[in-house]
Amino acid sequence: MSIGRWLLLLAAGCQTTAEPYEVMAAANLAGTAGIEGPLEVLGAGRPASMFHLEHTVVAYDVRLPDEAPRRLRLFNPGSCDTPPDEVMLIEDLGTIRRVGDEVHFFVPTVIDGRRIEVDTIVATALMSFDPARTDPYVPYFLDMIAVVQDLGEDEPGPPPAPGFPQKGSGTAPWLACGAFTLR
Amino acid sequence: MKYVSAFVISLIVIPIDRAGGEPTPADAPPESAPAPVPPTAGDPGENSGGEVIEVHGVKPADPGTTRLDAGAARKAPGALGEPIRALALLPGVTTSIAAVGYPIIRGTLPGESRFTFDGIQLPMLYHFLLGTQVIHPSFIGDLELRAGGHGAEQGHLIGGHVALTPARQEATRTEIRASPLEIGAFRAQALTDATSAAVAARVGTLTAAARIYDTSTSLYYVDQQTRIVHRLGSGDALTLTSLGAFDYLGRPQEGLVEIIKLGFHRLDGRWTRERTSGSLRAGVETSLDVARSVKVYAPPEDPSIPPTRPHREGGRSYGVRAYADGRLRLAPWLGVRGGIEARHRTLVHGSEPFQFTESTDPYLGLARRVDAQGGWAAFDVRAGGLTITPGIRADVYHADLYGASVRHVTVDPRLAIEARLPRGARAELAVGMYAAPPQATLSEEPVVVGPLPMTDGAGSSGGMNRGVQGQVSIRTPLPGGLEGSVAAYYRDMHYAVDFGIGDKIFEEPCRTELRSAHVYRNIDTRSVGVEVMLRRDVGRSVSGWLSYSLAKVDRDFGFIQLPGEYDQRHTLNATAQWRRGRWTLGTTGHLHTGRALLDPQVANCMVTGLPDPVTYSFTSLHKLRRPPLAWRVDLRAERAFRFADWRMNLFFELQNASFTKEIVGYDYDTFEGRMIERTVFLLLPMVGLEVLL
Repeated sequence: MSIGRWLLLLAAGCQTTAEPYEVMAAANLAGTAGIEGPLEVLGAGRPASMFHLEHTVVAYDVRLPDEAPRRLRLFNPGSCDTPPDEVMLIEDLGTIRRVGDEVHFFVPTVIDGRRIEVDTIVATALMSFDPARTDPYVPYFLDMIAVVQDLGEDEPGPPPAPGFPQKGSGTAPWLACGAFTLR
Repeated sequence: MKYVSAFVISLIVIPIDRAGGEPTPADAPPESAPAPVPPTAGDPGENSGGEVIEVHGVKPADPGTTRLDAGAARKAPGALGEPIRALALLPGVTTSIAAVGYPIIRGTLPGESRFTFDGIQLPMLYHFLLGTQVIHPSFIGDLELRAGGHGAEQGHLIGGHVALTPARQEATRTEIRASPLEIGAFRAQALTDATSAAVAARVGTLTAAARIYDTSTSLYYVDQQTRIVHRLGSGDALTLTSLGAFDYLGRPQEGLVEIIKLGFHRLDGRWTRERTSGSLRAGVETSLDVARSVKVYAPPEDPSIPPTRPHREGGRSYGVRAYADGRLRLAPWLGVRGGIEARHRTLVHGSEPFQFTESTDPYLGLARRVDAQGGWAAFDVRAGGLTITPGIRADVYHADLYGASVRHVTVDPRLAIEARLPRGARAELAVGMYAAPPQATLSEEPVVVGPLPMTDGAGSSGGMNRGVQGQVSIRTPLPGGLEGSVAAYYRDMHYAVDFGIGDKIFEEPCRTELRSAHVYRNIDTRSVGVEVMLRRDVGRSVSGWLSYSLAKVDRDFGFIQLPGEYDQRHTLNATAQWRRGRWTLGTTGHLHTGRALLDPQVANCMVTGLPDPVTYSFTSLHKLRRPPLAWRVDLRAERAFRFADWRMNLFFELQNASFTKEIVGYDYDTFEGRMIERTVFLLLPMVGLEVLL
């Protein structure tokens, strides 16, 4: 950004210098479809002594090849080498798409009979950062992978709600995959 | 339906200063009046030994500002002797329940507004967030409401500004108040020719009222105010102000005892200099806030089970602020004003801070340290009957949160143009850009409370709330001793974090593949309105005011536009007092149209494994419903009794003499299959006695 534009934004009260938020873990997405970048799991902005399972997930720095939306899901176990028909769907985080220079999460909903995609910016995911506090519905974060898939891929049976894993639900082509690692 | 009712008996003793005549808080000009100008060379007062006459006056309020005498506000029916409550009767102000509660100014949440006493920001307005105000009523001189269009001297403020000015304290005055709820005292007097002091303290208990609901609850509070002014001569003065309040709530529940502590303290020391050519002010303020909750669990009956450790939430914060500002008259047609300030606050949240939302999103998270610096400058250019005031303000805001650190720099231009019109009328145009960090407000219908202690910096990692505001105001004297004012405004704000909808969602039933959409970041809010006020001041046989607000507040999510949290189309207030002989009768009427409330929906969903659909209710942000018009009437009657050397006033006040209830929400009873209205019925009688010796 040129110094002139920076000064203009500063004068308009729009310039912000922000340091990064806390990132607890990240899954570096990589694949053959030009989709790559970190899917980051943020801390809760509270003292570390407070245990919680719900975490905010952001995809700001993920790179997408175009404006089309993609589906982002979490599967178990935590290896991208696992055959797609053997993975268990843990959570469907919704869709991601480009918004300016960032990638945001979108949630489909129906308003007055119209299906629309709501930009929620971030998503929330249930995962544990304590290996002693896990269950089949809230696994340890290292036991999960993040997978990007195309929208509109029909799969057998209705998609499960969060917390109800369904085996074999990862058969749609994987555009990108990343395993979570601690930051 | 909830009932809130309590009987209050109040005894107020006000001795008269026999040497100086009757002190009348309602008529006394506030301490904020300019200090007397010292004699200069050539002045007849200095050379001839003539008498120096001090004239204290109050600068007329700007057309965009509404000023209310605290004494008049205190006696407004429905205020129950608390002048801050009378704010709810002013134009541009609404409350979550008809004329009761924290003021919502032009649709902004209370946490986004600023409440100050002599420039000292108050972190809370009422004891236990809902009880009596934290400043003794007699300590307050005037209340000034500036709903928008603030000048460059106000930074990090996107809501309204309510400024409480100190009462005059040179005249000796004592007030003692005792009731089943509280005992309090106020004393003001001159200590020396150059020094005056005012002290107030109250100790109270709402235990009796709380035990209407829970017989084992304990509620106690205490507040103190001290102000010492020492005049150094030549227009210089030193002022020391101490404000503090502390609340204690003990609430036994099944198997545990919950204890809540809220409180704050502010200590401000400043130096001021007044000259005909200008003025200067510099000061330092320290701050301490406490907000804690402790749940102590009863030991288990089985001794082999280890006891549950106490659950502690909240913490305390410490801060300091330094400031300096002044004005200089460069020429008869040109003046310049400016100021700088810096503040720091450290928040010690403890192991478990309060959770203001259910979300664990760090963008709503709390801060551990906040540093802010600001500077501003403005010019006052006078041309005939016009005064043009361009100004600019720059602020740096830095917050250390848990696992993040943010720094925001904002530059906000401001412009005000004031015009003197014929027949004493004045008009003002005020526009500007405004930015502020997100401010937390507790919003759980029908309770809305803000500002909140320990929330400085919360949500600042999401960015700054910013936008433009503009307002046009006209104030004019009218025949019959009346004064009229009209204001029109427009606000267009972008909220980086909107705490008002942090826990509300867009929901679609029966679709398990759809997640609930939480949207609380990057929300645009626009508000527009017109406010009218007609008033007649205290001192005549009939006094009071009429206020009307027409307002519209919209939230734009990008994919849908919805009414704002407190989008209330029409608000009408009227309060009047009539003096005849020894009687003073007063009445207040309040009327408002309904806000948009969440409207519960019903859905029949098929559930895997069950043959028949299951009925359940849900709410969604876009499903709203406006209740019918709400109204209320309050009454007050006062009878004066005169004796040889003393006087006595007996008053009776009844809040909600109309016995009306207000709908504050809707629920759906799935068992009975019907909609339920959540209503609030407030009924508060008060009897009081004033003795003037």
